[in-house]
Amino acid sequence: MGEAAELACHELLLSLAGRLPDRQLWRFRDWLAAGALSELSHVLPLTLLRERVGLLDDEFRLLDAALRPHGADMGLLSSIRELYELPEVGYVFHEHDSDNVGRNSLGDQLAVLLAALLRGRPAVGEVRATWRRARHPSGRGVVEVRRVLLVTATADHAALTGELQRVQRAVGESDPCVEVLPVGYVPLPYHRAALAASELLCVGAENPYGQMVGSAR
Amino acid sequence: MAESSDRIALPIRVHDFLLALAGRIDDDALTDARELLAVAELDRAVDLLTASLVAGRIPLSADERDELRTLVDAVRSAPALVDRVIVNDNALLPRHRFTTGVMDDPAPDTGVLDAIGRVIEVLPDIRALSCVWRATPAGVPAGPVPQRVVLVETGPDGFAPSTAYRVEQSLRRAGIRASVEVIQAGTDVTEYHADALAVSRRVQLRQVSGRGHDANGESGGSLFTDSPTPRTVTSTRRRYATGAHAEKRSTVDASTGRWQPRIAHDEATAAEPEPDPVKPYEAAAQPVAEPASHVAVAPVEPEPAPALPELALPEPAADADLSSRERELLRQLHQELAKREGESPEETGTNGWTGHQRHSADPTATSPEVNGFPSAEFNSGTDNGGQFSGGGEFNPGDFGGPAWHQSTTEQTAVNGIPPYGGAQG
Repeated sequence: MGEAAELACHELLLSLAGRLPDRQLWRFRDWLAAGALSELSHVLPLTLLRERVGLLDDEFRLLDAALRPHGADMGLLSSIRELYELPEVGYVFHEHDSDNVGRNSLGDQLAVLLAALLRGRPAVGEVRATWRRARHPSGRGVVEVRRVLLVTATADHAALTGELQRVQRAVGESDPCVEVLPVGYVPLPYHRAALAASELLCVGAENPYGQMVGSAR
Repeated sequence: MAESSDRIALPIRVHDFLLALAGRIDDDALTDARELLAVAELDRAVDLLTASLVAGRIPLSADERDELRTLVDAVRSAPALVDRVIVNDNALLPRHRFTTGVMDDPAPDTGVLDAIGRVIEVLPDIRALSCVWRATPAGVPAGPVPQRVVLVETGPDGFAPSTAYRVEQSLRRAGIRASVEVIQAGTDVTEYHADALAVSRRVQLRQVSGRGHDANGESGGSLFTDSPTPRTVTSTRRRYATGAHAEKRSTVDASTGRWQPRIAHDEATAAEPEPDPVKPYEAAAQPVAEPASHVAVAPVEPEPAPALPELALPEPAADADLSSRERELLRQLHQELAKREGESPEETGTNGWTGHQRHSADPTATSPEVNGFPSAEFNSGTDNGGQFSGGGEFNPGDFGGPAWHQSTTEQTAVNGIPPYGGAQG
């Protein structure tokens, strides 16, 4: 029950990438990594309601599997509106930061750090990075370009997410975007677009073929 | 005790609880909770706080847990969540080090005034502003260090949650990442904040038109003094006492400005820790031509780059040294006051400091100086045309007080325009 709920919650939070603000999403993932499912069961439905985020049928099933055993309020869950299709991905992805010449993932300090942590590590597949920017910038202020990490893994997805987020925060990324994709996970459009424009940083112990597991059709 | 708590507005209680957790949970959680608080989503603020404590395995004292439970009940959140918070009265509290900069670090106040000038113009009753770097990480998903900490003091008419939110938003828009800690004058401060203040760089809020930052003279008790000899402080945090917390807001006299116990031992030390205490007075006595049509803010006169000790532990000798510094301060006060006594009213008048004229003209006004330090209270009427209301009264702007008082009187003289409010009688 515990592992199934955790994996369901992890997949649910994966599916919310690009739909919930990064600032909330990384924290929910951190709570999941810390085993705070009870807190998530209370806070996540409220957040979906307040942020007016709807869910697909599959996502409702994940929500139910993840949060109901931990005390989520059924009344709140019932109020979350259903989606029949996902909205357009609100971001575009590039292998390099198009606004900063020379700002690449491969070769910068974070890449060195990630390689030290993840190269040859059990349960970890490919480690990739891409740069994300809003498809329709608001027009006010600086257009934010943010690095997104894409990692495939066969186990401990939530814990790995939490670990990589904390590493990124420690080196200055306040709202880290870390997508740890389980083997066999069928990526949603957000992750497909991100993978398509990603750059390989290093490989763990679980991917001898150099293929992004999550990108399998 | 419960009655005292009940008299305090719920947002203020949540704000105070967040202050008590500063340095223990991550800065972003504090910032987000303050934002939720400011936009009237108290339940989400308390939920965020509770979940962050649970997920980060951050222990609270039993008193703190009780206060959290009260807050959770008050916002009608799930009380069961509080049961998962670790309670440990003996847990070691995080130690923090504060500094105004190491090597090539920029000064902690760099760009701050430019970023928040507009917002502090409209927010009510902002008394003082200080900035410091925190060199140690806070919370479990800690952010990078050094972390800039901006400390804001508000008066009784200020609203701390809004101030924290608006100031932080302004800084963020300007690309400045900072924790904004807003404390109301007259309340106790945690060791975390006291240690931050002890090292911080005071930023001078200069009032030109008299609007906005009128502290009615009460900020003479502000603990946002210019920092003493810059040094790094390592602190442990005091425990949060619900009862004391509840009482302090209900009974405190906001005019007392007790908010840095380390410095505010007594009146003499409250005015003390200027490396060169004559300097503010001299600066105030210089005519400065500046536009009087708006509220302006200006950085404090640049301090010499602090030669920081190597992240030194708290200096046990500092307190022992206090008496000699006090003596030095008093000596300089004597000199300064004697100097003023020797000035002719005309000379003083050229500075336009009408308060000085009155002061010099009133022989009784000198009496408190016999003790080397004026003892009478500052009268808020100083802003009303810059007049003292009675003999023996002391303008904190004369010495070690908030510099914008000085600026107001300067502006009156320089531009020939009475300060805001002064013309209204």
